[in-house]
Amino acid sequence: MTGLRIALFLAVRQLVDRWKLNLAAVLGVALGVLTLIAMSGVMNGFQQEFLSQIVRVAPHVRVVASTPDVETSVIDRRHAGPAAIDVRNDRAAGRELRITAPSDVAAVLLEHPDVIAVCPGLEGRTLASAGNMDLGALLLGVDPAQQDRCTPLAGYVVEGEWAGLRMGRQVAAIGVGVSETLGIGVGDRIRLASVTGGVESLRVVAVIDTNVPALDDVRILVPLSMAQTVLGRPDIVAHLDVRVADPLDADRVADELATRVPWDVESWREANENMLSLFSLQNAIVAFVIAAILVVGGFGILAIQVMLVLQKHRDIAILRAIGLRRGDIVVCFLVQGALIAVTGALLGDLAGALLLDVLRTLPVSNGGVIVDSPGFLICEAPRFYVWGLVFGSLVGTGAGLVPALRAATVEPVDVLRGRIA
Amino acid sequence: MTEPAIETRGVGRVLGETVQHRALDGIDLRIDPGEFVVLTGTSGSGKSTLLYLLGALDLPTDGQVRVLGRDIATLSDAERTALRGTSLGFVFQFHFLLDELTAAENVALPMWRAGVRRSAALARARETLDELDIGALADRRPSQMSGGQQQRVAIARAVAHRPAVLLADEPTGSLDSLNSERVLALLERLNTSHDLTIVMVTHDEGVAARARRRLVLRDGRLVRDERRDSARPGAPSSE
Repeated sequence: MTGLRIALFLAVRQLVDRWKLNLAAVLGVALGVLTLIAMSGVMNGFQQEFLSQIVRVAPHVRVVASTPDVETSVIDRRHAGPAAIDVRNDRAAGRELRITAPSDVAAVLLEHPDVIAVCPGLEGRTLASAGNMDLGALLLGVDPAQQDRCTPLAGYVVEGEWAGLRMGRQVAAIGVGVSETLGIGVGDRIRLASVTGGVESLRVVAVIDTNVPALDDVRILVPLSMAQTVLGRPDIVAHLDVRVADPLDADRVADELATRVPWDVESWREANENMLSLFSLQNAIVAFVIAAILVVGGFGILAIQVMLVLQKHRDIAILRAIGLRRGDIVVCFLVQGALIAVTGALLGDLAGALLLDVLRTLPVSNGGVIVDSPGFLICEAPRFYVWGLVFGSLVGTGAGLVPALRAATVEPVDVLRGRIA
Repeated sequence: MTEPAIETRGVGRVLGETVQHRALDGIDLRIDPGEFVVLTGTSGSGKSTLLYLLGALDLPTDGQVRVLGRDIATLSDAERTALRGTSLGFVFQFHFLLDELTAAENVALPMWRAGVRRSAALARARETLDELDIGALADRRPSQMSGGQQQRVAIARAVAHRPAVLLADEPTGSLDSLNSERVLALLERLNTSHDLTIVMVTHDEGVAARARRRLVLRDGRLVRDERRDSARPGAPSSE
């Protein structure tokens, strides 16, 4: 213990004595930790906001009819062999994506203990217009009485009322982006082009702002029967939205539901796989950048400590001559690297916290494509500061280890003989 | 018969890695406690090499070196370090004080390492500096002292922990005559008052003349071992 105390004492004295040089090394580590905290805070803030919005406004699990249900034409159904009958407006033999007996399927899904609600729906593309403006929109047919239990959109209505969707078939709830693009609001009419060539004119009863531009800019919600008409798919239910007790457990529930129904079941994670992959790639790049900066900080310590050891050969020789063991010498130099690293990491933590506060107030546009926000979305998790402290300290201490071990190999007699300077 | 402070038997030391040469050969030597011995010889005669062996800083290639009864070749690196820290003191041509520490802290360091509490070590360091008439330097750093002062502080560091043997490698080599005299007087005082065994390397005839025993090395061999009943205290340095 005595050797350790002496090593610590000498380390602190040497650090203080060369404070300008050591300050540069401290700032190197601090910069790395600052970057770690700032980038983690910004990236995670954005990602968490996106995910929390998705979990709030999107179905946790969706049962989708992805295998076509082959439908025979009227002619084929009436005649087994070839026939020459003139049939007008008959639909060609088609392949239809549908959930058959959706009520029965919903009942099966609701038997799962983690399923809270099941809502039928139909989704498709349509052309929406109002006045001279038009927009390629995503039409979502829902059961207004049930849908709010699966995707609680009523809470995101900024104008009008969700209950308005129950007032007949000719009503629509539109995203705030659709409202802005077409220049319409509650009480105005919106026209939807039907695939059969007709046009449905609906009254806007609600404007929804989920803060997810990907949804708000294109989505129009209408009663299910209206969607079936516009999309030319009468009586079709193409998916069932499922709300589960714990959205973070949606993958497991989806896997279990998949064994109970003969259709594809995907969780919100699978539905947003592209975005989550992008996040993973983004996180990997951020981790690489942070690691690079931390390593550069570590090299700063390495360079300074190597130089210090070279300059301190005589001191090392005399310390060894008067009774300090090799281990004491290692500790003496290792502690210097560690103190620089820990000080730098703490300084980086502090600077990181201040920077996040500044970033939070900066009016920076994020483009509003994925998540709409007037500035940086910041996630200030305590773990970032712990990571900063741990990684900064480890890199710095690791960088100090090599010169410290090198110092311990200095033989006093080699210095005294002048074999090493 | 008292146990010798230092004893060597047939000691040899080969130096060099690619080009080797025998720096010491067949050194037989016995130094008793309380002796003041000077090692002299021409440059390259092996004086310093022998001193490093006697100080357990190096190991012999041949033969045996016993310091305070212990064969240094049989000791581990940690045991040799402990031996140096507790029983030996070193003074070199250059002071080798730690720049970051005050004189008192430099002097206290070996005692602190030997297990004395830091406050007690510092107190004894100040006593030692006072004893050597350099108490006024206690709180100064090496950069605030002259060369002679630094060397006297280095001697204080070498003797503060009351070693049995002091090994000095040309301690006056870098000093002017006035400071050389001060340092030599100090060593003589320590030799007589503390019964300290001193082995000092020097090539200065004036300095060598002040010791009671003189060993002369030539080409790595001990060629002369002169003992005098009385040395010449205060003999002027030849340089």
